[in-house]
Amino acid sequence: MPEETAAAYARDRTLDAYRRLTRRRAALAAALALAAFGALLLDIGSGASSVTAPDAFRALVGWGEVSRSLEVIVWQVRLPAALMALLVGAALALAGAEMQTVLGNPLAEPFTLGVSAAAALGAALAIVLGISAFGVPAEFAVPANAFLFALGSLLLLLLLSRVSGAGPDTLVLFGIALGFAAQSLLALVQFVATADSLQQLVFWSMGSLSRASMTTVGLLAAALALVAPFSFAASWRLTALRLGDERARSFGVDVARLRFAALARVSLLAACAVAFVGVVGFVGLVGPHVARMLVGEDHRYLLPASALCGALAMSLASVLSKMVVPGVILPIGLVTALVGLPVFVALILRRGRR
Amino acid sequence: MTEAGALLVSGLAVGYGRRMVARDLTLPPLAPGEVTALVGPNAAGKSTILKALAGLVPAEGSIRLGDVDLRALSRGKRAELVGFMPQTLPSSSDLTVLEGMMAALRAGAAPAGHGALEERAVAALDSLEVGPLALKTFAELSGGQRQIASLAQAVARRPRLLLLDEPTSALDLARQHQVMALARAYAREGRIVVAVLHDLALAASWADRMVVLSEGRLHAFGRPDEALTPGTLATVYGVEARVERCSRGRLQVIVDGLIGGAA
Repeated sequence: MPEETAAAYARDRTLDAYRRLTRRRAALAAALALAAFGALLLDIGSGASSVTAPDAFRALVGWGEVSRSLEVIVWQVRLPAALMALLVGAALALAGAEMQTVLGNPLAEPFTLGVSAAAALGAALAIVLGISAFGVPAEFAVPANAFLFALGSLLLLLLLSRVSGAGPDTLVLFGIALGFAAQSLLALVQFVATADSLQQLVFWSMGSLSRASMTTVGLLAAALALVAPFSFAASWRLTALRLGDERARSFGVDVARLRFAALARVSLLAACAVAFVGVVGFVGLVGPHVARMLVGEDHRYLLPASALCGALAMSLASVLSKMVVPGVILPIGLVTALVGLPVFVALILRRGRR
Repeated sequence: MTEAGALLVSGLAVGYGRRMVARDLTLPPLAPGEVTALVGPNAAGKSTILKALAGLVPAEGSIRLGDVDLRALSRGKRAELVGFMPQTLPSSSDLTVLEGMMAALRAGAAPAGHGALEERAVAALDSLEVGPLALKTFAELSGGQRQIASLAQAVARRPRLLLLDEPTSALDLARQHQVMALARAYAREGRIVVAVLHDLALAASWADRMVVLSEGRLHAFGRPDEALTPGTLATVYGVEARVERCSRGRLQVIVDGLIGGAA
């Protein structure tokens, strides 16, 4: 029966092609990981101080004579900042990928639902009015406030969406409303602020890696390690969600629960990122898009690839922030926004042509 | 005709919030091996009732598949027995058709042997004659191709009950014929197929039974020639119509005008 043999042959070829594609995606993800590691080294090796790259690596591995000041610069300044760049990029892009899927909106990112404005309000309360959560040491007042406000705003949104049973579109509207409310309150705080605290607030909101310490790096790494396994475990369900809510539900997916859990994960990552680094735009938007172009939308590959793209982008942005003006480190948020903006426009144009 | 494994719906109440679509709807048993068309005018509640059978909207009453109480099953178990093809097409995405199939197989239930599932997915696409589309993304597909990919997802688990919501809405004549023939062949393997159809001619030529719904109530049931009568069409659709057989014996619905002089 030649017809049946031909059909079986075609099936085998399809399966082979699918497996090749799968292998290629895994290889691409590995290449991204390698590139991110390279960017990390580049990031550690570059900086505003006169420390050269070879010196920095020598201090890092403890090889040969290392002066005390070199050790301090590398271990307490460059390494935490470089690791933080990597982690924040990974956290924001992973959160962005989940956000885009659960909101069904390619232009969503971790801060879509007004999180950044809420975090800025929290920070402003600490900087300007000295209000902080009970029992938090003064030096952590700003990140703690930013974290609590960011997390609180997202939990409030989740609660609203649970109570109203609203879909993702309503959630976005709630988020916009919440963002505006936070922004108005922020303006109010700014209105009564002293010139000095106002300047501090502006610097805070630009997003900077210079605040990073091994403690905050550890905290963000812990948050990522906590969240990522759950994200990856939800890969098939998230992929199914891309086919539509009803379809996913007919496959047996509890869509409401999936969406709730994903938003909770996004909340934690976005709140940590904004607390430790401030508002860093576009990485959470662009990272997933680049990953999608590279590995497609099978979330088994999309989620890790997004995290890696974000890490790579953020690391490169960090390098760039030290190179634009010699001797000066630009706030990382400015760099990602300036580089991200053209990418963002290009994405919209590409989408429009579809 | 209460054959073993029939779909038994009784006392079904469905609605969104306060707006009830159906109250106390009882259907005659729908037997395995048959295609049943769910027809009726707009807002008759066809799609909502179909979704209630799929467990996608809250419902009261009894929905049983043979001796299995579908409403008592977990989502995952229910998805093994019941396949549902929504009216909306899968959205444009960078997912490939085969990845969509894999998601259909793996998203809800616990996976059993990855390699075997991939082969199942490809075989299912092949049986719908869309094997060559397996590695195309949804963004690259036409509306008709997407609809067939959607059908493939609904039958991926070989469910005993297959529910189709307007399965031919985006299809040209040849593809409509193909999909209905596939649905019938699927039913003939001893499964139950229930399809919401707008096109009465299509329903009459492919369905073994027709359920005519009006305002959430069962208005007529039976073989197409029993269910489709000028009287039914007048009451349910508000049209003056003839039901005639063509030279090959197929039922034709010819609408002459609206009742009540609104022509």
